[in-house]
Amino acid sequence: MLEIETGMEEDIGIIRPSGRLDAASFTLLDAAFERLIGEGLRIIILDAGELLYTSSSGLRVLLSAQKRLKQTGGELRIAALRPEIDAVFTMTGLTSVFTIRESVSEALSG
Amino acid sequence: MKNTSQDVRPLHVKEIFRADIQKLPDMVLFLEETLSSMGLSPTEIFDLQLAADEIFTNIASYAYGAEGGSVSIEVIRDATTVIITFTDSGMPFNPENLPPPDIGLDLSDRKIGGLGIYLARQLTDRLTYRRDDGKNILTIKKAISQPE
Repeated sequence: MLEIETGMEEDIGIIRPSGRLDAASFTLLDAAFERLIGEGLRIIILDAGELLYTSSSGLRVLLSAQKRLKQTGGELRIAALRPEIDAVFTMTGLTSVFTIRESVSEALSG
Repeated sequence: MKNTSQDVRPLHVKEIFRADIQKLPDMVLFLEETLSSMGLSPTEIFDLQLAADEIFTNIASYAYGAEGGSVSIEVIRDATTVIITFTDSGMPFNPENLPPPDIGLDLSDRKIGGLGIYLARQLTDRLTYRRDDGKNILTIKKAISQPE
C-alpha cells in the first residue's frame, strides 16, 4: 500500500509517499512527479520519512524524475530517508545521483 | 506474529501465486509472515523481502505471455540459513546472463533499469538458477543470525 501527498513550499514541490513503493504501486509516485513537473516545478523534494520500503521499481521512478528535473536545470532532493532505504540507495550507487538531506527543512534550503 | 520459545517454528513453507504484479502485495505478506514465524530479524526479513520482490516482479513481468501462469515459492529454514526457491514454467530466463549495472556512472549515463536482480544478489549470499524440465528454478540463500 502506498499513499501520496503532494504540497508546495514557495516554488518547491514536495512529494510525501507513505507505505511501500514497489512494482504494484510505483505508478502513483510516477503520476505525482508527472503532475508537479508538468506544472513547471523545477525543484522537488521527496519527503521519504514515511517511505517504508522501495524496490527497484521505485528507484527507477526516482532516477527518471531526476533526469527530467536536471534537464530543466532543477533537481530532486530526497529527505529523511529511513536507514533500510538509505542502505538500498548506497547499494545501488544512488547516493551520488540525488541531493540527500537529513530533513525536509534542510532540503528546502538546498 | 512474534515467537515465543514454545512456538513450533515452521521450517518449510510453500505457496503458489499467480505470476501477476497485482499479487505482489500478497506474496510480500506471505513472506513477511513466514520469515517472521521462522524467527528472522527485521533486517533479515527486509532484505529477503526485497530480494524476493525483485525476483517475483521479474517473473510476473517477463515469464509468461498474455495467457499468464503461476510461480511457486518455497521457503526453507535450517539452523543457519534461509533458502527461498521460485519455480515457474515460463520462458527461460537466466539472471546469470544479465550484465551487472554500472552503479558508478553519472546520472546522464545511467540506465534507468537493470537494478532488480543486482539488488537481489546484493541482499543475499547466493543467487542460483537452473532450467529443469521446462521450468525456471531460481534460488536465493541467506545466512541468518540465530534467534535468541
